[in-house]
Amino acid sequence: MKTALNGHTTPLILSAKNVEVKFNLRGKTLTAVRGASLDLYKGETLAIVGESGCGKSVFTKSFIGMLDKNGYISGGSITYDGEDMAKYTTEQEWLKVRGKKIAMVFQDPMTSLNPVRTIGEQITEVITWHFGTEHEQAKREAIELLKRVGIADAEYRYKQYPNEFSGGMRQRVVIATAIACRPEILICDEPTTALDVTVQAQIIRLIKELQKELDMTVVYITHDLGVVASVADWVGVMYAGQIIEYGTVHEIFKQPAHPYTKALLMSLPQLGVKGNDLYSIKGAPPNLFKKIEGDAFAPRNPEAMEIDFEQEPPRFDITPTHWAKTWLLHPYAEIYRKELDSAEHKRKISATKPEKPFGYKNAEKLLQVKNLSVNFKLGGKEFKAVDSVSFDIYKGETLSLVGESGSGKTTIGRAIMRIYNSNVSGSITYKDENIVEKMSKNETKKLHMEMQMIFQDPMASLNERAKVDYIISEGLYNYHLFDSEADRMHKVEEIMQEVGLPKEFSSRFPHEFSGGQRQRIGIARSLVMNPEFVVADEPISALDVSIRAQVINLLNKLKRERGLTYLFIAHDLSVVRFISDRIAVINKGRIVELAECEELFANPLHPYTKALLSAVPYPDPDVERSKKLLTYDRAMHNYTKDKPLWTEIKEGHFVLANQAEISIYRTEMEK
Amino acid sequence: MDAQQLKRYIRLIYTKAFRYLGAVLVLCALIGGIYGNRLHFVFASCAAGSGFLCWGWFTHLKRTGFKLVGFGEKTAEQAKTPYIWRIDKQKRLHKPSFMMTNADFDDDLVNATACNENEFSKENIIASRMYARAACGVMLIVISFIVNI
Repeated sequence: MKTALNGHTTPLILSAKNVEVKFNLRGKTLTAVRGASLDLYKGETLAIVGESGCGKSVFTKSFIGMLDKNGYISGGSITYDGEDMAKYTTEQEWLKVRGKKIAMVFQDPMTSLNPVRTIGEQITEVITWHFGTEHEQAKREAIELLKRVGIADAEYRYKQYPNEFSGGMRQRVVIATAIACRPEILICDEPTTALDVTVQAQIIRLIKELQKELDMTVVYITHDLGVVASVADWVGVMYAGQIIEYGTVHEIFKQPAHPYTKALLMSLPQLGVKGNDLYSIKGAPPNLFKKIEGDAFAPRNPEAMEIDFEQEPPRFDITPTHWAKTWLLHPYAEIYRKELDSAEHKRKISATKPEKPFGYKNAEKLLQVKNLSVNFKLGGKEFKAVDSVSFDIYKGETLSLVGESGSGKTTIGRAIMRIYNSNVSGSITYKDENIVEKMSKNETKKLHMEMQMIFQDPMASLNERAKVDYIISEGLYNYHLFDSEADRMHKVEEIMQEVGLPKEFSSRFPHEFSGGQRQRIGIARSLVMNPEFVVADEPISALDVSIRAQVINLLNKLKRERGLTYLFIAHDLSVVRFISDRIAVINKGRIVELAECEELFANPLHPYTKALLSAVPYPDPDVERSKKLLTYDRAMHNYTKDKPLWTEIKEGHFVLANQAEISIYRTEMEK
Repeated sequence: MDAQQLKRYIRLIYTKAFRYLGAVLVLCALIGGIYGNRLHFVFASCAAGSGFLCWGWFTHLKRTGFKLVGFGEKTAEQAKTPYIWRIDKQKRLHKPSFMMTNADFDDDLVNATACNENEFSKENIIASRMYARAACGVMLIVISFIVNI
């Protein structure tokens, strides 16, 4: 096909030029999008990446007139189908485009679905609205659509309500609703952020297939660069309401030009070297209530030049398909750019020395879990959340529990923390003492001081009515661990300093902090008790890329300095690889494989581990595109006669398998 | 409709009719009070009764497929915009408190008096509105005859 000068092979369908979106908030004006420009071409996939609050969603929502009530397009043009949509003023005008020509899939499917109507009715409603189809015909089409997006037993599911679906299934329903009108452009606003890696991979594959089938243009909004590498043809990097770099996916990943794009890529755990600190972007995005002078990223860029603070950089073309807005590309800055590149090269070389693997030979066992089972009663029926799980945790190591949502990871963590009482069976031995059995008050107190937990959602785990000072001190108050008020304050200030929070923040409330800072408060609250063992329950899943890097570095630093032992619960294998010494893979309440980190990544044996590893997005377009996605089906095991056993197949590498499978795995290992 | 369901259906009509009647009587009493004589109260209740009979009749016509163009109809966008494409998904139509469903409020009488519309078909609900409006109209006209001027 003929390629135009700008690298696109298909016709232009939407062109947004210098779009400016403002919001009126309590008498002040916030400029969320500050002159962003973008072109969409037929059948192509564009990814818009950036941190939370940089205006990605607002910019694309302005294409379908779905801005919040207090928001409006205050400048620029959005040309689609020969009309400037920025001039639309009424809902009737937007409804000619919204859903019919341009559709959107939102991050949280529950906000898109009406909780009091069946999902079938909601899809039928869209079909009838657009095509004027008779109800019965629309119903048949809706069932077909449900089948198309991979919902089994669609006739039955048609009559179910959104609350009866899992997160991944709900997202499939939203996709079915969005494509019901066969739109020309599909905007996917972080469609997989809240989902597991395996479900994420399935949803991405589904969108790709539908795009091909319907010849749609897809716009992905995400902060996950692994997803971008896998799906995008073109990438636009957004910061402080502007597209600051644009190019093909290869150009952005291989030759990023803007310091912000480079920083985003460097802060990915996949590209970090174990044992070295991950690069993290300092500070927070600028306040968009104020007018921004110069390059918006300059205050966070340690290598910013003087001009970056004074004048906004224009667009510099690097190749016909790649441009960026940075003064570094000005001919006068060429020498400085080369100096930075060479410094970066040296930094990479010096940071390639990996950490020494954990020495298990002389290690002391801190916690032993044997045949742990946790049962819950659901609707009168007994449900086994954890089924005969056994593992050991050595002093000073990080053991990660990895698996899909609902696999029992958190339940194991909570059982270790003695949150469940009556429904736990098996044994958990901490420092040679069984902690499942009844314990005296003093023993429980001692245990609570030595074992602490960090929770996933920092906001939900902090008392929003209490000041940071009280939140951190709560454990100290409960166990009277201070001599005087001055001693308590000293302990609080010391721990705040250790986790990187200024002591002046102690009189603030949780809502006054960013996500990363809140998680630091959660970590400080656990560490003030001076624990030996910490259960970290998905502490970074809810955090942004840059903040995620800061928290990972902090956890690693605390481990080195305090000799902490972590049980790290996560579903993101890229983070797990960076932080763990050993990994246990869990599926439907059973650990299916356990091995040292590098061993597990090099020689995965269990088909579930293989499927999980194949679904992990890697921020390299070449790797992503050549990758084969594996699926796991429990039916592939025949355990009717030959029962599976927890077997050590190689020193330190355990797998759940029957005799027939063990011999296959052994042959695989020998190869 | 079985006997129990029929009983609940009659209760639904009764509730609706007396809700209308209560609201209109208050209005008529206000009119009578403003003018300071019973005559205006009687006129108002008679006029309202006739109005309600007409409203009941139009409800019947609508039920049988007759449409009075542009009257009481929602615009296409209001009626059809699917939930997913609405901007303000939380938006509720204003409903005066006396028109709210008593089943939504928890008090001792709910179990005995609650009329749940959801257990009847759309056709039955429209019919119940028709009967309630007609009954209210008849009661208002009867009241206008009974009251001495």
